[in-house]
Amino acid sequence: MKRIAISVLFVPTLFVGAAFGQRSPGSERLTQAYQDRLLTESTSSLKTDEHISMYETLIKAQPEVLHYQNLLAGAYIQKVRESMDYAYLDRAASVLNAVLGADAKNYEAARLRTEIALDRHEFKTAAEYSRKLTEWSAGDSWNWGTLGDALTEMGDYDKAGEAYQKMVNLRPDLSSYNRAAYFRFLYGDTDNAVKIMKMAISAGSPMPENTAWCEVELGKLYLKTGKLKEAAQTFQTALRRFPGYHPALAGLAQTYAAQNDWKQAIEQMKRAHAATPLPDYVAALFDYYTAAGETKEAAKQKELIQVIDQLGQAAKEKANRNIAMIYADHDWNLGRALELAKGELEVRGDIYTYDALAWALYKNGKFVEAGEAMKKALLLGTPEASFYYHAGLIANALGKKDEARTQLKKALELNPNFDARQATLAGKALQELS
Amino acid sequence: MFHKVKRIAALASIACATTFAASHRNGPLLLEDQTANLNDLYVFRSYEQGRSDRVVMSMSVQGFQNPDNGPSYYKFSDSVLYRFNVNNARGLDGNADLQVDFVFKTELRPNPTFVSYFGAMKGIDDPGIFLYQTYVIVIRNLKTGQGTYISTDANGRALSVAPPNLGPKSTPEYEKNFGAPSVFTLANGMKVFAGPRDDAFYFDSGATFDTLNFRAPAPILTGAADTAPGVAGPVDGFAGYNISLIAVEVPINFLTADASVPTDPKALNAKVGVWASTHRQVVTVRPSPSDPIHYGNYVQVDRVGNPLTVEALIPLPMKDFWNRSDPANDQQFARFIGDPFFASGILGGVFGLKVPPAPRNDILGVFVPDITRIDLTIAPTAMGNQNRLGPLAGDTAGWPFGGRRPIDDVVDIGFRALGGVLVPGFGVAPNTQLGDGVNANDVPLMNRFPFHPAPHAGFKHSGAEGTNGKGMVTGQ
Repeated sequence: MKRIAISVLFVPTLFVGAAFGQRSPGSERLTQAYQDRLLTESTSSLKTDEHISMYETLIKAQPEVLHYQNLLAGAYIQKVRESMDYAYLDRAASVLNAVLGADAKNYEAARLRTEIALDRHEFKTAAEYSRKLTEWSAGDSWNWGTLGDALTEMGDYDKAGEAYQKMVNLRPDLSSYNRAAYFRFLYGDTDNAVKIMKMAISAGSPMPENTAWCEVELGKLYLKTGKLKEAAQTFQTALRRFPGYHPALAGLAQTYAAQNDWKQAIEQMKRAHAATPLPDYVAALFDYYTAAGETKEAAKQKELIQVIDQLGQAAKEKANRNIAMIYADHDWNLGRALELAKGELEVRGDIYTYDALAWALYKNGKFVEAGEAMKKALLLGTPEASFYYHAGLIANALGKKDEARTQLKKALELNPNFDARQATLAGKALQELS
Repeated sequence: MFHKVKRIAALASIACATTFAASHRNGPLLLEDQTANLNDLYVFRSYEQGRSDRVVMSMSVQGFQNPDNGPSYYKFSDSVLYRFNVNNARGLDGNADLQVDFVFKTELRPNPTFVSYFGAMKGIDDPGIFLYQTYVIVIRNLKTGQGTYISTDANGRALSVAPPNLGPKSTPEYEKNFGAPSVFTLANGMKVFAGPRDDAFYFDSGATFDTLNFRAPAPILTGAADTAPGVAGPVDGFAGYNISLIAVEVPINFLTADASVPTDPKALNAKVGVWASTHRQVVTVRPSPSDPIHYGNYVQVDRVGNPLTVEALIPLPMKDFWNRSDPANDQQFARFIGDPFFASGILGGVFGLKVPPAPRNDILGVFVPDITRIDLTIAPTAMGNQNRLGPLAGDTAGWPFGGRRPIDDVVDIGFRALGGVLVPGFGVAPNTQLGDGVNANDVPLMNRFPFHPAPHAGFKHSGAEGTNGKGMVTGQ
């Protein structure tokens, strides 16, 4: 293992207090200030795993310094972003709980704790934490960001927008810009969503994954507006910046799929899946294999999804709009689809959750309820082709042929290849209506 | 069968993941900025031959650049406004009177490859430079309201950022072909530079993980240990890394309120204060017909005045606020700055050193407002005669009185200032001998603009086996 020790470690050299076991936080702060700067900047070129082992060692050497424990928790949270391994989230949580147990007013830990709540989909809690922290420090952009995140998931877009605007006004950087870009897209302004996401990327982050994440979002914006060449370039850039990044691989796969290049689509999606086995990737592989005529391989993917869901059921999972959507899209386990979609509504109320619910209701023959839910999904005018496809079929089922035609046309205008499987179905449905 | 069991076992570990993979949008939250992150500010009268009537201001951003970072090379951000602020009136109250802004623009030239730079390049106009970044300068006189916009040098050439030092094959004889030619002389006689350089900052990074050793002989330096280059032991933790530097050389009278060259140190215009800041534009989160996003106001996101990372002394809940605020309001932060300097606890208690009693007006006078002060009447010291301890060793042309030069050992000066050496009666040993033991930069400094040495070359820099290219002179 690399000897990271050499270039990066930090015990006070000047103040003998360290060796003598004495600590006087006020007096040591000057050296600590330099060492913190050195620590932060030198670790910026290290990978997250290296951060983790370095901080763990620092903590062993100086267990009383809570700052190092917060840094470790932050590194664990970053690890979750990169690996989707949620065991790290639990580790981060226990580190932060220990810090807050030792020092209830530890701001650094309190602020990180909100991120964990968000990752666990505890949106109400995250909103509460954020609000309290904005009272503690109204000038810190971080808490307005987490507040906006929580409120967005809960569907309170007005207040979320206010929070995000405060975040940008206090500190324009990658974290506030990417949220502003997202909001622009939600409200139908894709052009400026692209511009602002580019500003986010240009602003950058010491963590390459953060910038790659923004590049993936930009790639998805391009995909959704049919700009396939730009999409492919952007996903490739993300992969060079953070090699093996699964959302970039998945995005690249979707770009190939949009051009009916099933071989490449399968290749890239397999790599994404190998990096992180998400059900969305499995479902995409099912669609790609089906389109390529590889029915045996496709069947394996279907089986895999069932297994994933069974494990979820064993773990008492009641909410999962991704699996709900997969089931509804393929007409599998429609009862379970509805259960999972309804379960999501218990903890969130955003347009994507309403869209999944509407689709699951439709597939279960509950057309009126589906129509109600779909209205909520279309509230902001978000340019998601799949939304209009769902709306079109629902309108059709409710006997509203004109509306159905309009919606389906809009879906295919927005993005003719919006989904490897559903786009064809949308086209067929529109044909039948003409 | 085994295969299926194995697969299910693997899936069991991600069963939890599926719940959360019902994705919420997890936008990154930054603990640190990257492109707007200011490291150091340097302000000094030029010690280049024949140019002592000039003042140099330079800021370093994006520290710890690993020279091997290709293919994503460090560059300035198009979304950041980089600013030098000059305060030359009202007794240096921390309000700006003059601003020099740098704004960058990246151009991605047509490129059959995905690399940013390609081939054996001959100079700064080489077609192999696909990632081409230029900048414009805006000079604002806040008293008269006059603004000057400069986008080319005196010959009409665009101001381009120096490319990275890729190594002897791609960027042969780097300083001759790429570094020096990236110094431009403007029509108004100013000189400018923007690009990668060696990080001139130096500080002992301390002992290794598993021992709490102090490297001998710090913290009290005697004899050879107190002269450059120090003795073996302490290691410059910043060695081998590059930074991005923005530098400008101006005539002395560009900085003064009455456009004169001061000669009397007691005159009002003898001293000016400087700080650097970075800014980005706000955008509106929700679209509206009257909100074009590119014309949002600029918000300050970072600043640096004195070299002792005052920002690091500000508690986390107030950090963003400090970064946004102006030095003119720094009195509100005095309680955070004053505290670490009441060093009687450790220095007094453990070392038995006599430290001046509170209030430490000597320290607060330097840091509040947090600007680098330069007495323009102090003549520059020739490079061969410069002392890293500046005024504490009789070389008044250094920090904190004569601005701040790359050679100034701000760490040792700072610790000795803490010990009270600036206060009459306390300038005695061992307070005058405190230090971290690292007394010089890893690479020899330059004696001409932009004064920071050429950047470390990519190919020589190795991240393997824990080395970091310590002390390698690239000779390019």
